[in-house]
Amino acid sequence: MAATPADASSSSSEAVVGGEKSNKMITLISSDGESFEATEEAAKMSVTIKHMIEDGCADDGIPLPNVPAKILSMVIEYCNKHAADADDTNKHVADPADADEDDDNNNNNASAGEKEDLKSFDASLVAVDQATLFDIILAANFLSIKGLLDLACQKVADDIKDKSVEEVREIFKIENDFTKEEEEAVRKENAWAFNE
Amino acid sequence: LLPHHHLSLPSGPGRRPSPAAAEVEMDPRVWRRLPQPLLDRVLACLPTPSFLRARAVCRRFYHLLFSSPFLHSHLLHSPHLPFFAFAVPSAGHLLLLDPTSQPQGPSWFLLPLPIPGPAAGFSPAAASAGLLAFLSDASGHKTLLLANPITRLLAALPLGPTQRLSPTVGLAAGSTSIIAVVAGDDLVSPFAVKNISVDTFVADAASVPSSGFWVPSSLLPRLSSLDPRAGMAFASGRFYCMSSSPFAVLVFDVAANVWSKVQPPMRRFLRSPALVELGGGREGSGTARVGLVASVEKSRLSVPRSVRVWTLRGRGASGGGGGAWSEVGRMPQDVHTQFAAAEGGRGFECAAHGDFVVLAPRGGPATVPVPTTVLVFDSRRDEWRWAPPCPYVGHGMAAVANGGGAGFRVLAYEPRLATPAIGLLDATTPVALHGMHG
Repeated sequence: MAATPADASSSSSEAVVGGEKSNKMITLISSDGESFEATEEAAKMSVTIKHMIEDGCADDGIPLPNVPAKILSMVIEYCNKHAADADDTNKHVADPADADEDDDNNNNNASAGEKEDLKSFDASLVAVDQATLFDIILAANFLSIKGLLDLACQKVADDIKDKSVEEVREIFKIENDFTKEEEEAVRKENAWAFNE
Repeated sequence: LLPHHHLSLPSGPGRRPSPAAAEVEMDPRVWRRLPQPLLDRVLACLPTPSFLRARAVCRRFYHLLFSSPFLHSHLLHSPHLPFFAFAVPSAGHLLLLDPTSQPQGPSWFLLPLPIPGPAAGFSPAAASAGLLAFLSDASGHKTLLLANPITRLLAALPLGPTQRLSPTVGLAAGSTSIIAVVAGDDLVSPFAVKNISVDTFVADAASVPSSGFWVPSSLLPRLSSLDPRAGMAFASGRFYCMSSSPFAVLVFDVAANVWSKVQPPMRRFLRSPALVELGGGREGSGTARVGLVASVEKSRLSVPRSVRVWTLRGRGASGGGGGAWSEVGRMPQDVHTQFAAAEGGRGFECAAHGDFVVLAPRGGPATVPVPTTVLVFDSRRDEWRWAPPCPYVGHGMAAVANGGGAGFRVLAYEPRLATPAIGLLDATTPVALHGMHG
């Protein structure tokens, strides 16, 4: 996909007022030199890219030397899908003390059907081979896309959550630095979690 | 099929693997290159029991339990576990039920309670956000302890301002706040007219001082009658508890320190009603709804006996009158036949957590007070299924006297690593665990 030169009339020095969604397209360049376009709104799901845009570095396209084309296209797909769901990346743990809301107040931006769509999109995005999943994690981390990082890390956690201690050591090539007695003591400390 | 005997499950190391996860081949050539901060991020997504097993992998993993940044991350990212804790009097442990149906269905854990300890004179009374509230047994000024049995943190609330006999306790905790209510008869005089009041304790990180204080008592509506074995449900800043003779739902607005009443559905035909919290979870009390679970019996045969689940919609609490109750579940007839046989008219213990409701028939007076049959209702899928018999029911029972009529209780308890609210309590409050007096 060829890069579109920035139009002189839509100068990036124009400040975008909060709340207004710019239709401006941002060019992102993968590590292997391929160019991709994304709306500014979608691109800003990456905090890293958001800062670069705000610092005025985005005019000629943003080079992403850490992200190969295959991964970048998946990342952009994620951002496009989720950009509409505004508070998606803002998870917080609520407190009973500050909840005096109406029972019917659901802060849904999306309808139930749309949420189901997003969920199945997310699930299929991370149902990929190991190497790709690994690359997605690193890219989401580098680009600071919280929702995608959450999603990909949760997938790995789901894959390892029922594995044995020995299996986990093998997968991540971790050395067992416990003595035999220490390891026994650790297992005993939380014995309840080992049996069912 | 109603279980009539206890199956003994093989004990020992290892757990039943969920087939899907066990099959996923993880390639070390890929994953050994994962940078440490990202590996920690993955660990923070593990459900609590899984992480506790992973602590045996290496020293670094072991020590993550003591790392504040990791605990914060785990609090944010680990999945919500809608577990249930069955508290058997004087047992020194909890029987945990995981209702989420994987291929093998609900499963049991035996969670030791090292604190406060079975001989200390405290009983579990409520649970919220990974914390258990223990109430002192002795009548008089009551002590409430908050504990995280996973990390063995324990802290006491300041002594309750009103002397009480057997109050009902409600607890709503978040990461930065604690609200506890203790409601029941105040021991003014054995000859005085029954005076039912509530003491409210509030601790909030945003307040100064944050360590909390007891709000002056307020009186419940006249002729209220609370069951100390029942709990309270909490949603949107209000506690809900059941009053009997006649049945009414009492609503306590914490911020306003004001009580009101809501009429339950089918009020004259209810038996063994229980107020529960459905929904909520990590998103907090904003999405929690109050539920009512009860047997319904009409003398006229046109209405068959059943057990129903309703939720309360809208505020419904201001100034008496009916809140809008909607029926969200009804026990199918075949299940109800088995359930009624197990219950034998003695009523049932009940709690809800996330989308799940558990119903455990009470045993007879001569039996050991343990849950022998437990029914699980999945409100999202509208499915009723019996939990497998608990393999730990006979465990350590030699020490359990027949509770003097006090049976088991069931609480909505989530095992959590991080329970930051406990840090709000004043660490200097003295906690004397033995020989507590009123």
